[in-house]
Amino acid sequence: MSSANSGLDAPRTRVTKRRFLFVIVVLFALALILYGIKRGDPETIHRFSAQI
Amino acid sequence: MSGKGDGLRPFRIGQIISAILLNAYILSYLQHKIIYTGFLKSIPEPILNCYGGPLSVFACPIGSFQQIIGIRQIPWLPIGVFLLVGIVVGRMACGWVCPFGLWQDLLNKIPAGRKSWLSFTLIALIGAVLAAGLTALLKAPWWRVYLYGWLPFTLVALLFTRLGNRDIPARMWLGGFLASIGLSLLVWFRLGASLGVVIGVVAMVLLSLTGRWFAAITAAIAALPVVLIGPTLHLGPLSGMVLAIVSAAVLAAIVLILDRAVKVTLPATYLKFAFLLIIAVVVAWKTGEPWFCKLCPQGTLEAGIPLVLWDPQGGLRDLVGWLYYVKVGILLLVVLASISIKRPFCRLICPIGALYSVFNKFSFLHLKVSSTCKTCKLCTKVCPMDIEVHQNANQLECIRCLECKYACTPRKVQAKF
Repeated sequence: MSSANSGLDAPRTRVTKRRFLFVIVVLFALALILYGIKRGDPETIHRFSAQI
Repeated sequence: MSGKGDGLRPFRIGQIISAILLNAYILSYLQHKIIYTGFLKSIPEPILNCYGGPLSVFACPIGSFQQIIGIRQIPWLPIGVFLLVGIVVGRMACGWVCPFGLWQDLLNKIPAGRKSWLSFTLIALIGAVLAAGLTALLKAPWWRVYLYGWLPFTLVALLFTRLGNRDIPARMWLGGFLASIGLSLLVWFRLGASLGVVIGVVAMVLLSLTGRWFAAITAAIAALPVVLIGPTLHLGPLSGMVLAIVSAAVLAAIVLILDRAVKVTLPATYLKFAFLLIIAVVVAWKTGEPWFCKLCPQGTLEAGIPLVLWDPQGGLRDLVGWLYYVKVGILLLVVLASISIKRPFCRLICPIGALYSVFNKFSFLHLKVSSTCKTCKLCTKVCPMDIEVHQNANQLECIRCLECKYACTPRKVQAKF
């Protein structure tokens, strides 16, 4: 019985793990964006993109 | 061709809306300002849309990426944007948001193959009218515009329309690819970075579209400039022309042998990773200039051509040089290739597509094909990237347009978060 239960739980565990990783990567991406803003990337981008 | 598949799909509506919104700065025309220079130009958008265009509102992410690399810094903000968009929706932005994807999709609607003569005549006539306009605007000698512009354009148009709809060859040839890189580096060191990059790009694009024999010939031609370094190597009789001929023969042989015997292959679609790493990273770092932007066909379409034709403050037309004509040539090649090949730029060249494609397997949004799929291949038929959806729905090339989902009447393809 327990082995059957663990079989049923396996996909759910996979989905949970996937969502957990997803949240971690999203937070990491947001951290990169904020760090880029702090480092002055928008000013650098503007300096180049607002000229011919 | 009219039928169920030709209706205005949600992704197409998304493409049209984004093409308008991302290029909505009509004040540039009304106020005679060349480009928008406000706050939004500090923000990189998630897809390819030239920030040098007179109507452009946001900054191009790959342009921003190269500019920051060019000043020897790590582009944290563009990397964060790529990572965020990629991990949430994979390559969906390429399908739903990118204006250059829309242009390629529309060009692919032009009939090729059986109705090729009609298409060819139309393209040749449009080309002739454009050439006449260009002659008048740029005050260029008309025979030069027609001889060097219109004639090669119509000949390539004839080739592409006669070829009919076809897929990119599944493999490209490693020998030819390496030879292209070698040629590029050689020309770079001998004649300067500009020519080196241009020759490398043109050679790689040509190789990706061709077969074994053409690759061998290209490799041989690529080896010929060894003549330039021959005298400096002090190899005695093997200097100059002899060295060039020997190298050409050896390279051509390597290409043929590798392909036939060893089967060393590299899928053509991996070419965009070369563009990303070599042009957008290495070359930008080395030269301090955004070389991908300098050659980008989207930049030529949205900025290069409109700005030179419009030229509200005067002086831009005087800046037109050889690089401008190379850019226009690359754009015309992509335009013509798009008639017979689905999205050639997205599949072979686009570095943004290369970045997003890595996330397709891990992104939160993903496609799922039911195990009860009957393999009718309707999904592959409607796919703008020619993917075998039933075999691997989340492969690198999938742009998540969801055409397969809508085309699959038994609903065996699902998009899930």
